[in-house]
Amino acid sequence: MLTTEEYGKVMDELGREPNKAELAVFEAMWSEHCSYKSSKRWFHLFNDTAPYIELGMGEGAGLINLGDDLLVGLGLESHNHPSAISPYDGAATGVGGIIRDILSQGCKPIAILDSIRFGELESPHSQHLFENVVRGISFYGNCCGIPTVGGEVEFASSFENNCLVNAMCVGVVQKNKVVRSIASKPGDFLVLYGARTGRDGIHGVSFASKDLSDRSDKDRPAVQIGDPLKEKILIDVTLELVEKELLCGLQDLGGGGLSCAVSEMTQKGNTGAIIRLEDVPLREEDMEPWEIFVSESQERMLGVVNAKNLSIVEELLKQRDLVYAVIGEVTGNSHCIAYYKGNKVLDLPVDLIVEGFPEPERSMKPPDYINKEFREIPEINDLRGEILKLFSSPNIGDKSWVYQQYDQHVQTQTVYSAGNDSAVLRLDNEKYIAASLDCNSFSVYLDPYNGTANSAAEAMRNLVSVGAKPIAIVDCLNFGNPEQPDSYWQFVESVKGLGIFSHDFQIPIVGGNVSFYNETSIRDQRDRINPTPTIGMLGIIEDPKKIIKNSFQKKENLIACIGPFDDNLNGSEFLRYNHGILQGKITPYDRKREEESRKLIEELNQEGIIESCHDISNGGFIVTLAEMAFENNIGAKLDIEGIFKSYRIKKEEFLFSESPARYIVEINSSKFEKSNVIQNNITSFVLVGETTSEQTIVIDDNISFNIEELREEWKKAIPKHMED
Amino acid sequence: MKIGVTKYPGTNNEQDVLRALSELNVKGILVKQYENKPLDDFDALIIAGGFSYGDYLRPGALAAQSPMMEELQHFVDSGRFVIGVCNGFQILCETKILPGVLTTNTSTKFISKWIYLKSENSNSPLLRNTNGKVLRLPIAHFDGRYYDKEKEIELLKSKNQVAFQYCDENGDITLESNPNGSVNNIAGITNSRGNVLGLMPHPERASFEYLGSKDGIQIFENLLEEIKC
Repeated sequence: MLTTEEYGKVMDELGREPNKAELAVFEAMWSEHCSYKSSKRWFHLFNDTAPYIELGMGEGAGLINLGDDLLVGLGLESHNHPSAISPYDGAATGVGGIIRDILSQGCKPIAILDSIRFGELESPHSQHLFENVVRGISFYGNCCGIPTVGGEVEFASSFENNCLVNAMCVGVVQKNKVVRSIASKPGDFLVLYGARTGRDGIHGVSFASKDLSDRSDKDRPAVQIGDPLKEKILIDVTLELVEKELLCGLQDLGGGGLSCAVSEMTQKGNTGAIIRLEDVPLREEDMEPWEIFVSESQERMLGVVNAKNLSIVEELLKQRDLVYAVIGEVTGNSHCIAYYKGNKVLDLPVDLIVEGFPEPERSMKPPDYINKEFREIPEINDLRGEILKLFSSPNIGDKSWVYQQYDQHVQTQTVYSAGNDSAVLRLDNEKYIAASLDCNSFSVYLDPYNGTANSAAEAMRNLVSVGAKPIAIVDCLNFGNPEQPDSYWQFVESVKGLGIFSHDFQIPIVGGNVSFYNETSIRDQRDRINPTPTIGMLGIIEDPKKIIKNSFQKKENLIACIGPFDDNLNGSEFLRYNHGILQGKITPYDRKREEESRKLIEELNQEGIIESCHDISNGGFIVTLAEMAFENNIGAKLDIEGIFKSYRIKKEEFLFSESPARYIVEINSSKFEKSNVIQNNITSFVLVGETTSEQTIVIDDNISFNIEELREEWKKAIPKHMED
Repeated sequence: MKIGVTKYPGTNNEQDVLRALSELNVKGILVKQYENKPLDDFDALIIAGGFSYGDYLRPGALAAQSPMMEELQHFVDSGRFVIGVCNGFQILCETKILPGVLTTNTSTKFISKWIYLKSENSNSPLLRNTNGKVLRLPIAHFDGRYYDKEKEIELLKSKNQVAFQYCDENGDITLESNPNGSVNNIAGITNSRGNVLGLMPHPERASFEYLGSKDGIQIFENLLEEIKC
């Protein structure tokens, strides 16, 4: 629904009442989802440039030049609201949407990563959403022949009514084959191809731009239905059209359907368009013109085709049995005009559709819980039991229940798949790239600015610990209702945090998406998600011999901790899961420390003495250590008593703190003494023990575990809730 | 040497198979369903995996009805070699060129992971040099549970048609190492003549050192060797 102010603006600009079709266009295009009307004003805080960026924010894919004119395309999108109502179709079409986004720039999709969040797994409702979201992603991505190689899963009560489904897609394209989402030449034809247009997904973007409620079930028709076979054919045909250079412009039909693709492409090209809606191939014959124009039916692309290529394009589409129609032409008059059987049904200036919305006033106020001191760490009587309990948390536990449902190896490029710190892919030109997708919503909840910067730093650490150099970011900013001052404050603080990180480390943001209204009001009870700025990061690996392993490789190697220790447990999974505490101040983002740790890992890797590395994140030191032990059954014997004294921290703080800028490394013991890097950095390099052939993790004289004992808790953390 | 690699709408492993062949310096030829190339031109055919026709109805069921498949029986009868991987195996079972059926995994979930395989007693030249070895290959399927009546399985065994069985790292054929509930841990079979091989694991995804295993390439090497003869 348009606001009174927005309706007034339409009246002023048009000098008349908008008709039904025009109103439907404004409702779609001026929705928060399409217009970014509450968020766009803050994007200037982002670093969005680097010499190797070929295309930044604003189209389907950000394009990064890896050298040799091979570009990597990145996109990241949310499909939260649809997945909350209809998890299987919502998640499947979320994957489909992000694939078509990067396809719009001519990219061949080569990998998917997913970030998904649900309520606590004890809840049958969350189990249902989790089961079906994973199934939906699996069904769609697998069928399209794109490997799902990484991502993250988080469970917390704040996601009980608003699950999050964010999908990231990585693609590749040769520089001279890039297609833009622009219609710049009057006289070119608009060719709609792919699936037929139906009534599914009508007003999908409006549905995604309001709070969910106990009546949201009636919005089920706003959820699109996916057909991955059609998508696969669409991908194959589009890549052929791109390869043969038959397209002058291309955009997928996502939120807002035709109305969005036509107006955005012509607005960027300073052109207009005439559309004949009766030529759009329909699935249901009795659709009204406005429904045809805003339908969000899946698996459709709008190509801009020059007259000289039209017959070749038509021939190709016919041969592949793909439904298509020439639905209109590009014009020079800056208006989007649609006819239905000879009658003009809408006539709007494209600038007004795309950029004409009045920017709404938004106010900010920190929520009451922010910045409250909290130091009352519960007394710990049974540290061994606490550790076992932590390993049984679904947030800590093994995620193979999820990622084994995704085809991880199709396209034969997957060097590291899910379960490692980052995915690593080998491209056709023998370059290696790495990708990670991350957020810690608990630390963002406690402190949106520092929590977001630390989450971005964690995505960076994930890349560093496989030996990759971070080069680009895509983000998906999932927040509550921006009309609520405390929610909007969370958003703005978070953007500031991501902005500062992107400048500090010179990693540009090349694309992203904002999803507001992840908030529910049921019987006047407001229920808001932990703010979740999901960060996707791309890295490049210059030398494949320098790819670092994430698990222990050999017995009798040295184990060291890199990065600062502190006594802060706030926001940790230990306090949250074991003791139900989520409050207090987190350790702030610290550029210098983050830089020092990263530099040290990079230098150690250059020197060739790292056997393995793993960044310390969820669960803290003990979880990181055990994860390194699991893969090859190589144990560890710690010697840490001295650390507690030197750094004035308690044992539980050492084991469970999730403070940023830290890694565990396994160092080849024979090379330790001779290492210049270590001698030069001896203060930042703290030895904590050594790897052993015994399959045990020995913390001290009192506490030790068989690896198997920890692994069993870790392995069944998710399945125990999902399987009877 | 002309090796055809099939592509139906929804097939998505054809490029991976071509890549594995090119590792052996052979340029495979795509056989696209809409081009109606006569199969007779080829020395061997690899039916690549994926989701032909979206797995609609049953995996492989629609591809088995396609015109290309009418020629396939004749192609097989002529003694030429056919390898069906994953969805290709499902198609071969749907056409009845290979016996048995591939039904939904016991977990009722898609399974993608690395597994171990062992080949024993097979008389097919496509399995030369794999006898008794433990191979590491990935699987990726929703419907990979091989099933046939006990009598038929006994027949397969007696005619040495069981090509591969799922096993553990040490080569022991155990319940735990069976990822999908296949009867007798069967992962792949041949026809009685030995010129048709169907298997669920993906040899083309284990044909490069950088992917973590080269164990699968032997099967393609064997195929090339046979065609040369």
